[in-house]
Amino acid sequence: MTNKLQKDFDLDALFADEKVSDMMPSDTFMNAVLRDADDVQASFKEPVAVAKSTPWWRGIVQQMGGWQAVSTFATCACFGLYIGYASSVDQVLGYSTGTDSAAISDVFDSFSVASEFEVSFLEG
Amino acid sequence: MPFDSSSEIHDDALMVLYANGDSEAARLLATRHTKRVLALSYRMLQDQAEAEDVAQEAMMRLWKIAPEWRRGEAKVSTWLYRVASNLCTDRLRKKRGAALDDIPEPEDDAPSAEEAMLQQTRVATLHEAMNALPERQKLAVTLRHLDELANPEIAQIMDISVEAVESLTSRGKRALRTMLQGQEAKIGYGT
Repeated sequence: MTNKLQKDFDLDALFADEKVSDMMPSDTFMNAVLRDADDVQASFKEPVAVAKSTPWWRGIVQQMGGWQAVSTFATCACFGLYIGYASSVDQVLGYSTGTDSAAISDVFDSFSVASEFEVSFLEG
Repeated sequence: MPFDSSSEIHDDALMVLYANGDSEAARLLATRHTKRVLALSYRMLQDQAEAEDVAQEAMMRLWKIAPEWRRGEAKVSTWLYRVASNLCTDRLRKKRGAALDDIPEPEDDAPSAEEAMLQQTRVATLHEAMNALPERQKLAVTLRHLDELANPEIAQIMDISVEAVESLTSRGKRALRTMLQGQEAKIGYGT
């Protein structure tokens, strides 16, 4: 019998009554909550402007004295490379000139041979 | 900042806005959650001043945690319920031993308000019975049947399994029925 009564007892109706009697926050209470929110918010640090991360090469450029210095340096470097390249070409050309000069001398020799032929032809 | 469609702004976004100095976000968060936190606190503590203290403290903790709030980890409402229920449990433990008879009976002031008085009596009787429940059962029954939360959310709030929530609410309701037997006439359910 007790079990039946327990099962039948309308708890849900009681819960419904309780929900109707929900406590509503008063204006004073809500103002206090919002005042807390403002106080806490004011205590937060001012948002710090996030420094943009500069690339490593920009630091080097600045250390070297700026874009003008770097462009001068780059020009000098290019010129140095050119000189280095050019001298090595000369060196190579020097070797080849030796070979070529022999060839040229051979050519001249062939001319001289030719002139000798011409002479002998004229002389008969 | 205008909030034309404020209801569409997720709590997580409001937390970020608040942390970034938007006071309107605080107003929206307070409007959404204070009432429920206060209702839970009042159901647990049955004392308006104490319930307001707890609800204000829970909201204060929400404001303070805003800059570190991790999106998607927990719902703001669940987090608040958890904080408030812990604060209530602490207070109830301190008050443990207080006589259940301390709960005031509703005043009989106007014969014309018979139905309203009957409802007051029902609520007071329910409160009285719920106060006699162990704290965990009381919290589980409150969250399930008065705040109408789903069992998984209650499990999160109470940091227990869903099965444990079901067990707590079931035992709580059984205990309530036992305590309320014999009071049907008093609360207008008798024949």
